[in-house]
Amino acid sequence: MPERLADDTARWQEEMQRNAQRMTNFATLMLNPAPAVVGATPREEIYRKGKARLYRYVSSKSRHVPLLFVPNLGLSRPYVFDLTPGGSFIEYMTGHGFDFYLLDWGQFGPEDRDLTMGECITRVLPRMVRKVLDTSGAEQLSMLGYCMGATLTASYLGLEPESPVVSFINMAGPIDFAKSGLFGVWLDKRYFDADKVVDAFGQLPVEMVMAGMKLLKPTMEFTSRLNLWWNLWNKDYIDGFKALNQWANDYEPMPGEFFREWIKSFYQDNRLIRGELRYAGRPVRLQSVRCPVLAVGAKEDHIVPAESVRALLEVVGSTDKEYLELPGGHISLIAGRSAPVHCWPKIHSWLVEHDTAG
Amino acid sequence: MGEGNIWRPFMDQGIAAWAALMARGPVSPDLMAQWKQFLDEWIAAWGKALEQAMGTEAFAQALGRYLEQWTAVQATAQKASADMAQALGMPSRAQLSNVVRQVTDMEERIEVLTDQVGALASRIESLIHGSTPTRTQSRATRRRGQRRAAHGGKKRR
Repeated sequence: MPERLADDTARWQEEMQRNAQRMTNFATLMLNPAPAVVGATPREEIYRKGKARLYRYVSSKSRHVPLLFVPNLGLSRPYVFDLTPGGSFIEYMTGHGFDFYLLDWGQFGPEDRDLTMGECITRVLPRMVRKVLDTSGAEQLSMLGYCMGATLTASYLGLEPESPVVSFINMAGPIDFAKSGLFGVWLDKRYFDADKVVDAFGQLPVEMVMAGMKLLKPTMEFTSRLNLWWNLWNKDYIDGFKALNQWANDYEPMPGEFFREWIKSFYQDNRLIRGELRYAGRPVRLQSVRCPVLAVGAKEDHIVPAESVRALLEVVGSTDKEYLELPGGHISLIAGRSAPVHCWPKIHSWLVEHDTAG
Repeated sequence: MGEGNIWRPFMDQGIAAWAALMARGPVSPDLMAQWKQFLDEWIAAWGKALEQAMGTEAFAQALGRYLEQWTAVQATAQKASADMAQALGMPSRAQLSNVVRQVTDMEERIEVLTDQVGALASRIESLIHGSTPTRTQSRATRRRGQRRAAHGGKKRR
């Protein structure tokens, strides 16, 4: 019994100490609202096309095949992949010797309303691929698409089966839009008129992006605040929270024509998986993708359900294909505390296995 | 589930979460942890119930109706703004966007031309020197050059 009492007392003391630390850190957080330092990994801009930028990150380049990372276009900024020192996917990959390139699609304004998916797939992506090869001196490259970036990359590969891509990773990228969860229900053509939105706004406005994301998980704000309070005694948690929270509220608009096509051809008509997409007069055939493919879905992804990601493996012509379902949500798959444990090492080891020149 | 009953699961799941917590036995010194656990479960229950409610056709329909009203208001505001710009002799947003578009198109054409000149220059160079293609003029590079030239010849939108 005295042992139990001593144990209880120790636990109460620990809790009291944590509470005192919470108060101190809360005051610091309130009095020092300086933005978090994000995107700190050294990089060099090697090419720009319109608003798009291609960055090469500093690394030892011990791996032979360069890696081109293609994130989503609009909606959010790509610094989430290089969030904080020690918590950055890009830092992790460059630290393991990958010659890492990031395609930043840019920040769009009303003047970009005419940018189409076709232009991104037939003009921007091929140029970026070429620039990566020219800069690295390599003959082939690997591509890693995240979210919509994976859909764009898959479309590019389906259109250009001869492209010098040795391996492709689809990370949380929707392929079968019939399995797209809540967004699929809301964007049903009976209820959602993409034409009206684009004609009225010229683009997908930031307010609508924010409303859509918040509505998708209305309890998220409360959960993140609650978790912050719970972990407020932990300085590392606060630093990570500040950076991630800053990114999570940094929404971006999406060019109007791009949005129109994204909704109508992909969400509403599911043309990619049906093989009905055509760009530059040529069909996009996922069956013609022959390179090794890895699809990575997140168990609790409410933005792109895992089954929509997994569908890629059912349609590509590759014989070397693999699916990984990891814990976490759409963002925590690649950024946040669990990503370095569950996701990054798997991406790294799969790429090393498929580094054909290495 | 009828439209009038969509709030019912919040209550049911919240009560279930509370009951499950209470059934676990006496309160330990980790009162905070228990309270946090209860809140997590409570939020999860709300989240699940909300997800169910928002996954219905009725919700999608309501969202669509709201969006329609929003876009109608926006369209009126945009027309008024364009009319005012016209009355003041100022270029409209659409006209400015068109200028930007033309610049972008021009940039693209210059880039295509630069690529084609570059491809021609390397071909001429290899013909003059009679050398076999170097690594930078390898088969893959030449294939890319051909594709580039093919893309450049495409009619622009």
